[in-house]
Amino acid sequence: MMKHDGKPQHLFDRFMRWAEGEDPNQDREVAEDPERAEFIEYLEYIDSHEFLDFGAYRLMRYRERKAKGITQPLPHSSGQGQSVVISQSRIPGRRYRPGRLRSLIRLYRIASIFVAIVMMVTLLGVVLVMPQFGDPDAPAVNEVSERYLEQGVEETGAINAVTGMILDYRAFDTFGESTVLFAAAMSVILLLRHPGRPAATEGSGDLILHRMGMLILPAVMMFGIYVILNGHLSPGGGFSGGTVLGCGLILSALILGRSRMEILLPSKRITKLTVICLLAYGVMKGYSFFTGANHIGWDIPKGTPGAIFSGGFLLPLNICVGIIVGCTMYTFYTLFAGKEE
Amino acid sequence: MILLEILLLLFLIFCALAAVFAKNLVATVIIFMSYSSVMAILWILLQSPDLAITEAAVGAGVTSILFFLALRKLNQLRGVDRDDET
Repeated sequence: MMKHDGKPQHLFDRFMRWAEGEDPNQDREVAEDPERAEFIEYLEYIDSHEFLDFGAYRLMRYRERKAKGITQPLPHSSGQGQSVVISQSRIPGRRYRPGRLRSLIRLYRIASIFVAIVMMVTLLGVVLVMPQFGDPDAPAVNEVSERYLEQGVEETGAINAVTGMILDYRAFDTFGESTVLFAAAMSVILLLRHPGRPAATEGSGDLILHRMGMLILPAVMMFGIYVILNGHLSPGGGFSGGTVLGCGLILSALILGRSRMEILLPSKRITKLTVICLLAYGVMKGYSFFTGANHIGWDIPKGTPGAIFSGGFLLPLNICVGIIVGCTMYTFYTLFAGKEE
Repeated sequence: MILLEILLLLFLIFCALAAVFAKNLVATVIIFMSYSSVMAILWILLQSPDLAITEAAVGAGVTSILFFLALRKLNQLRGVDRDDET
């Protein structure tokens, strides 16, 4: 349980009392405190509207604190009376104006509608500029895609033209995608992982889930590995196969439980795997692009198109992307499924 | 085949609207899962099996699991008497 000190505890108490149906305005003698009065107004607002508009509340707090010139978070450690004194001595001219919250909420709504309309107009404008579907002069049917489709097999060694495109011609896009996934996983780890907290829930003792999961799990894992390894031959590739693999890992965490998954994939090993794969991808493809996309001095033979060991860099790149995506999905699951203490 | 595509597209629109207007949050997530599954079939009909695999795995698999986890955190999973919070 988190420790609440000073004012947050007090506000929390008041909120809980309000939530249990009591009147939060019982103690009238302290209602002159502006923050308290605005909090009461906020409570009345959510009472009348029956939902919590945290965005508006946060916006109001932000405006207030910006007006005061405070950018640091509130000192939570100081005692209740002391913090009240500080806030009153720092801001002598601040008064509680009734109705300010309501106008701010209106501003918040108008701003959100405005942002949505700007986004809609921009996207629809881009769609209007785009060429018609099936237009013979469209850039999508010019010589670039022609070259990709006609010479892709001999240039990349991939039967699957999509993989040849995204992992050879456009490999830096995929590198960016993998980096985004890695950054997302790292932020989730930074935000949600506590050392003393169990990383995932125990497997449930549900017999039906256990039996069905055991039945499905090998098929899911095999399919994921197949899609990754055959990415340059058949539909699929690193991203799709990695997602299937991640689903399989989540399923195995559900049916095997935390202790057995910790043996297979501790969180440190997941992080190491992800980092190694991302670095390997970056080094391989970075070198290849740095030398003008012709792999000078590091020539992996392309092999015969159609064999499993073919396509030069495509197979290791697919494996790297697959491991990154699978580990990221599994990390999301374990961290979000962790218990609150 | 055209008839099947039209039927699937209509079902897709129906699913999208139903997911927005459903009162029960668990029902919303399940409707969203069916939306993703139908979308995966449509991707196959549009001859892009790559996307179909990804759509089925991400849309019907991972995102729904994350949604269910969020609902469990919010104590919105009714009918589940297994108490994980203590």
